[in-house]
Amino acid sequence: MFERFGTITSVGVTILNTMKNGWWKILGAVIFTGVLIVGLTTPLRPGIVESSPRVAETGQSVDVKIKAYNSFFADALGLKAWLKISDDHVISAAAIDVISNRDIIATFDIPNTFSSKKAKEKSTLILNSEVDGNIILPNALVIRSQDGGTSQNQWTPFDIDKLHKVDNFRFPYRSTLNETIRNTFFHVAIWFAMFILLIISLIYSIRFLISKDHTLDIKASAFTSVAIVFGLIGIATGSVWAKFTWGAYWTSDVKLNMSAIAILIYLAYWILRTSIKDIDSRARLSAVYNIFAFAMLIPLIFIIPRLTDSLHPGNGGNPALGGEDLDNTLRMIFYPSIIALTLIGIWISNITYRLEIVKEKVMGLY
Amino acid sequence: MNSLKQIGYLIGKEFKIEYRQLISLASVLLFLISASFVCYKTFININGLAWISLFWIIMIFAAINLIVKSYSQGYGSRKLWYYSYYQSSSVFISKLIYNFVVLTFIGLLLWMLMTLFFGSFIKDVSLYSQGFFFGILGLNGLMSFTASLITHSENNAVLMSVLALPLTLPIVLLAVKIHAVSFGLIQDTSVGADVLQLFAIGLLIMGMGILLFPNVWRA
Repeated sequence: MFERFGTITSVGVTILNTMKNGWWKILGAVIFTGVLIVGLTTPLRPGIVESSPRVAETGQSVDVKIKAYNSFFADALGLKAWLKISDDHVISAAAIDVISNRDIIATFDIPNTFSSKKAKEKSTLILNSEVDGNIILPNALVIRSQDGGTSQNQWTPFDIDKLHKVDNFRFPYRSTLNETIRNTFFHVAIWFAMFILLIISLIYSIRFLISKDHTLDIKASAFTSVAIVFGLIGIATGSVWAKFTWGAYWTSDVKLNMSAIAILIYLAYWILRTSIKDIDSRARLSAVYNIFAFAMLIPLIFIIPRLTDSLHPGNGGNPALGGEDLDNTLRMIFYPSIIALTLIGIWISNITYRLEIVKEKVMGLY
Repeated sequence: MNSLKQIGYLIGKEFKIEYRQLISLASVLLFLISASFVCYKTFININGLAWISLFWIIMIFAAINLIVKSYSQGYGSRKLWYYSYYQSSSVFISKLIYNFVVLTFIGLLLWMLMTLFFGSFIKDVSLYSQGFFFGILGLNGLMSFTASLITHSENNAVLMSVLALPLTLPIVLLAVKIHAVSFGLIQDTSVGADVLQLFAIGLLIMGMGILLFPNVWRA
């Protein structure tokens, strides 16, 4: 009875010790599981896929066919539609015909004149209901000015109080990205984690050159090899994303090619390590090359991509981590994902490092 | 002996060694002539962009051929003497300056040969020369440093290409862009910033080299 109790206690103590020393590993795994579950199961906010026609004339009555994504028009109470040119120039739909949850036809009586003297104005389509909240499509309808309309309708100021707000946890809908917006948590986060691992490896290399402690060099090499694997995963996830949004797995885009070159530089680091037999000069030279390669990575990643236009976010006027593309719901998953992937990367690096040490001990080199 | 005197002496020594073994320089010159002649016979008529690309590709391989040798010709036996008498930075700086002079000479020769074979496309000679000199400055720093890294390993030439070629990309891309502007192929009002960046990358490489060289040559 007591013996069994003792065994259970010792197992418990072992588990407790593991948790005490390896809490960050558990944290990384738990956060990443959470990122996987929440990141892949949270639905997108409703959005408008397309509307037709795209052009109308003043004084006309237009039936705008609207095709939406993830919306619930059939169940929606208080479904309303507006066309908005500016805050003072709004008309609401005269009639809304709900065909299904995804399709509606909204009829707009466009007034005879604009107050401005412009030949045409772009208008934004706004839908609102209790279930879906706001659904917005900018530049949905171009309205051309035309003489002699017969409409009785007038432009009115926009009444924001009438809008229903829905506060549930949803990712934003972006027309070209669609569901792939979730790749932000994996593709972007794994590049961040790779960069952090490379910085850790750089620090170990510098510390090796100062202290000449052989284990520091093995640590640096372990971190670099895991960073290379992360980089390859980053390229693979980015490639899939590029196929969806740009239509090709690989383009001649500058950022893609620079990241491929960065991987090549670190593969060269690995080749340098394997080609030197003497263990001391191997450690010293690969530490030196690691520092040098990192210094060369800075012009490669921060200067060259600015030279040319690029489709990739973060270059040539495309916003990356800012503006509308990374809203607060995405941030709540994206930042934990960086932390989790970094922790997992450090974990794998530690295992690689211990494996290397064991290998050297077995081979009698160390 | 202060370091300036040391550097001056070492550069003189490099020239003397080169003069005694003219075969290495002669082989690089022959490489230049045959490479540009092969291009002349295969391309026949080329446009401006191909001219620039050919120039830099031949330049990269000429630099690899030249600088790999600068650490191999009896360097192993002289190293102990260098190590006991001179500061490491003096040795590296003297190598940098010597290689820069030789590479510039080779570059000018290549420029001449390319003009002879394919004609000249240059519209802005001063901008072209800036791209030329700063590009060679960066290439030279990069190659001199990588060559010093691989003296301890086997199959030098292959390893040199593997280590140096990916790292040349930022330098060569900037230099090609500056040359394209000097040829009038693209319009860019802010090309001065590119020239500055190319110069800054060259300085960064040489600074890193001088900083890290003491760790490399101690064997």
